[in-house]
Amino acid sequence: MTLCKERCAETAIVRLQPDVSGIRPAVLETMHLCRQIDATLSDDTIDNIQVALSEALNNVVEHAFVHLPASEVCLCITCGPSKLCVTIVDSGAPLPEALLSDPGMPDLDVAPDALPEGGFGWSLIHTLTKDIAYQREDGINRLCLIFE
Amino acid sequence: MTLTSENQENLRIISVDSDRIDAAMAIQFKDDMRGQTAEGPKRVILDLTKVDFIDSSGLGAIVASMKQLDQGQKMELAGLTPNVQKVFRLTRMDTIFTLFPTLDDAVDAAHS
Repeated sequence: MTLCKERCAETAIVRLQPDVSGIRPAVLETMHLCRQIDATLSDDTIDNIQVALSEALNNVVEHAFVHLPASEVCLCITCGPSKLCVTIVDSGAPLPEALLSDPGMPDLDVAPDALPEGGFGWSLIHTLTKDIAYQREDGINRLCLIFE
Repeated sequence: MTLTSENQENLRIISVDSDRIDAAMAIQFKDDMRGQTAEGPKRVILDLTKVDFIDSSGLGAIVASMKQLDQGQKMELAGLTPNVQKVFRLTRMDTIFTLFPTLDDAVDAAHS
């Protein structure tokens, strides 16, 4: 079953299995395709895509299939006049709605041995994207990261 | 991913010989760092000159490496590329670590 067939007005698609070793190649391929789709994309925007997408895919790999059999994740890249969207399509667990608002970065005003080693990902995604949109229908998540 | 280290006087320079530190390598990085810093010189410089990209897992691994230093050991970071600097800045980790633009800057500061 292909998740993106007929459901995505796609310009380009990248597919990956939800394991940690698949993330880097998928991110690199996405960056490459984004440049091909829109040659005017700034280096800054490409870097933002690199980080935000890596963080979002880390979350899918870590959380989406904990209680479900792993299945293919699909990245749909679409380009509009003033924005570019990378949509992560998967059939894993629903995204907690609270994460659609920026949770803020972890507090660093703590003793050195209590400094946080995680919890930065979602706030990074919010900061680096212009907007985030999420839909879930028929057990399929569509998380759209929108870049300028 | 390789870490190579070089000792100078009371200083250990640990260079990351990889273009990234990300979720796929974070645990290995942390373990390798412990091996490189344990019972070593008091000043450690982590040379990130070759690292073009870190994600939050990579950042977390660097923080973890700092937390597992011996008592009295201090780690500073050198050669952060723009992408890596950005992640440190957005997470405000640039207020926690001492960052040097280049390895030479870090070494000069350690010897002065």
